[in-house]
Amino acid sequence: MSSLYEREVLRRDALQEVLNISMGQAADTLACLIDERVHLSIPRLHDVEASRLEAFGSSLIRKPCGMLTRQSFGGFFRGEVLACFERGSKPVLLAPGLGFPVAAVERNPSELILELTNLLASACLKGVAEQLACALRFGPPSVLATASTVTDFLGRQSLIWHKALFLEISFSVDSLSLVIDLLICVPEQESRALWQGVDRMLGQEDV
Amino acid sequence: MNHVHSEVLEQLGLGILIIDAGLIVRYANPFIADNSSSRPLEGKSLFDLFPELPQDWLRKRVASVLMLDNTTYTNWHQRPRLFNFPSSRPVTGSARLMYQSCSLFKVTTEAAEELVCITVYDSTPTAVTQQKLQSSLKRLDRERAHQAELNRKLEATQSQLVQSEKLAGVGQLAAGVAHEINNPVCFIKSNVECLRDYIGKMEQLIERYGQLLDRHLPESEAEARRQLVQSLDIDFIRAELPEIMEETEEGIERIEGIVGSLKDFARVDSGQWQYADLNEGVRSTLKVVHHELKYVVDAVEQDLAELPPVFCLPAQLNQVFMNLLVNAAHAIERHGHVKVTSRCLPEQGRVVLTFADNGCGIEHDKLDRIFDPFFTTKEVGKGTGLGLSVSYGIIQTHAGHISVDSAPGQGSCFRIELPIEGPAAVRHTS
Repeated sequence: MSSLYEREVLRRDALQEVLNISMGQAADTLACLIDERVHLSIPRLHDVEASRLEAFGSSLIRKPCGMLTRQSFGGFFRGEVLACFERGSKPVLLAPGLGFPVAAVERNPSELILELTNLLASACLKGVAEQLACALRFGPPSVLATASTVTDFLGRQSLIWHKALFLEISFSVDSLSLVIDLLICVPEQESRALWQGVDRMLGQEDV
Repeated sequence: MNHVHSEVLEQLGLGILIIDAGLIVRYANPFIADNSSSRPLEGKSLFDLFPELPQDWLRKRVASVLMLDNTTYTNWHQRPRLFNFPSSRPVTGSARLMYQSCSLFKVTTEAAEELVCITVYDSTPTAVTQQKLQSSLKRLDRERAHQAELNRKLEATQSQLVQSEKLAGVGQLAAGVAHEINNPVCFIKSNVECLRDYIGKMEQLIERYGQLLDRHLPESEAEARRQLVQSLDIDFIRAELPEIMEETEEGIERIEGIVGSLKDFARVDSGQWQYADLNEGVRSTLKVVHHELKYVVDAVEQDLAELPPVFCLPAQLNQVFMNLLVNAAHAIERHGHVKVTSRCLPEQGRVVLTFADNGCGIEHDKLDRIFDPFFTTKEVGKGTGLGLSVSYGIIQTHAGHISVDSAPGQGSCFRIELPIEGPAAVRHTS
């Protein structure tokens, strides 16, 4: 039996690997769907404390400010995906590839933005669920704020969690200079199942 | 299609729970199962799996659905949830539990067994939005009420200001009239003094002429003169003249007194903060309102102690004294008594003035409203309802305090407390 520290390191490495593989698969899927060459960054794991959101903010690679959307997921483990569409970015460029009329999106881009949130959340978590051999289900996406950073938004809420695991991913489309920032967030009380899944995958369920 | 139906139920973002009449679970889709720690759910008692469910209520609903073959609904508005499922916004939400809208309806198996289907819809996003909306509406309502209150206060202040300006205008007018009267009064007084001197001299001359004539006129001429003196009532005139002069001078002195009081009362020459003798203010105001008091008040008692000069707006305080004295006169039907006192409280740095009358008094339920603008107990046309509110405002400006002690039928006593060194000293102390 490995020590607790070694086990923790092993778990995190395994999860990182799961995420890396998942993002690779997600990038392929998204490229097919939007008919563009896309790039998903290597996910970064953050242990976030609700009382130290500023510290979390400064540890992020990018700190975009723009329209914030969210989508719940549940099943084997529960959490929310947060997406930030940075101000000035033009998700409308993806409209033709996704079958949205450009004129309609220019008038009101929120439907396209919510659909993009849904696609990115599903694509990124599909691979995770497959590798952990579990099922995840998604609720409908919704807009949280029209112009905010994630940390500013969370800082204004009365949060019900103290600690959470945040996975930071950037989605970009090479030809369109478009970046969408994603955070897959799992509160501590919900992450037990996630780590159980990782343990099961590692064959360490009984540890 | 059975497989497809089954897939639909599995994927649906809606909880589907089927129970029998004995409330045993026959089927639960993943939406429900994910929120229960027990697996499998089928074959177990609904209340064992979800002890938070309201048992009596749910049994009755299930029975009525089976009996009536209808649908029963719950809405998150009235009943936030049936099941204690965790919120679907564990990261961005502030509620721990999911808001739900549920429905219960009857379904029948191929073997004609009657079951009840419970659907659970996650209403959290709607509830959160609605609650935010409600809270915004409440805030708007509060702000609107606050705005209305501010408008009301603004109107009241404006009315007070108008009344205050009006009173100040009356004061200025009075002072102007006093000034205009003062000039003729001065030369009348001077002329009367000359007249008294001249009359004295004329009197001496007439006296001397009388003696000479009495000595030198023949008897017939002397008789004619006596008759003329008698018919013209000259002796009476000579006896009356000094008295007439004395009364005239007294009248002039009274005019001078009233003019002086009017000028003192209005203090047009001193509309700024300054040290003033409040006793003097009381005295001059009493002279100005003498005509209001004299018909109903038998005696005005002045118990004025020695006061230090008070830093104040003297003309405004005189208006307050006038309001209180006129109110006292209006409260007295006849043969009343008014008492004005002044005292110094050196240890508190304050002076106290009281204006008491034995008039009709104020009813208890009206006492806390008498300083409100437009509140009056006087008959229509006699009072504006602003006198006391203006007085209250003036005393507030002076960082003072005005209060009343009154009993119906026994009279009222208004008490004014003022800081000797003015409002700045009060702010400094506090």
